[in-house]
Amino acid sequence: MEIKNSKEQTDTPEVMQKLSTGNNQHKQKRRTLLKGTAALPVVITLYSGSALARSSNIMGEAASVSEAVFVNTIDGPQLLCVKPVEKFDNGTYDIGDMPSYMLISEPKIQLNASEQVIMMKKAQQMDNCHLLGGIMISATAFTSIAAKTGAFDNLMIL
Amino acid sequence: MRWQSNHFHSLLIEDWGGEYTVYQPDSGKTHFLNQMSIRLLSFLSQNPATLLEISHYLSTAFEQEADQDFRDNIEKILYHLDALGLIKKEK
Repeated sequence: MEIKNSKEQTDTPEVMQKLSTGNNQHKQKRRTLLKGTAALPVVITLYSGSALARSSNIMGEAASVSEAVFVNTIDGPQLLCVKPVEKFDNGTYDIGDMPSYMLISEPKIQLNASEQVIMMKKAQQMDNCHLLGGIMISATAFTSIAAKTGAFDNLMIL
Repeated sequence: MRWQSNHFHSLLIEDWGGEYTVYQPDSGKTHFLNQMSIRLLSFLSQNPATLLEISHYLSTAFEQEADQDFRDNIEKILYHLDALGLIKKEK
């Protein structure tokens, strides 16, 4: 009884106006079915504008070594390893206003090796990058950061 | 223990077709909520309620079975909303 009353109170014009949920129950049920997440409450807190303003370059690490950026050098491809200034709880990184980076030269990658060997050595370069506290960034992130900061000028990217 | 909303009327809520962005002036944070979360908040804005009452209300509204798993998940989200300052325990 109390719960029923509560529902009636919830559906006051004030609340309904605030939520703009509308009165079409069929539409609502269809949405509920279509959105799998409706079966449980979901709350995700987004970054505040001020946090984004403070941190000019927030990004996640490249999902895999095949998406990472390698720089073409005279000694073969070398992984672009970016040193983040902060890691957030959600797994993203702030790489700062002017990102610092290093090129991972070991193990050396020879382009005439088999694809399998090249991938294995790229993965080893990734491990070395992580050991140094760095992260790989994707080509998309690289392009964005390069255009904004000029931090990667003069690098020739594979 | 009963839960109640915390400054619900100060929240700026925008409906994006069944999903909601909620700006919380007190913290300066913006949250993304789905329908069930927003219904939970609006329910608690009308009257404090226990976990059992909240679970019953939501299970009815969303045609879910109010079993132990469902109640456990609701309880988790209540504590999460409490940590965010969107709801609080009634004193």
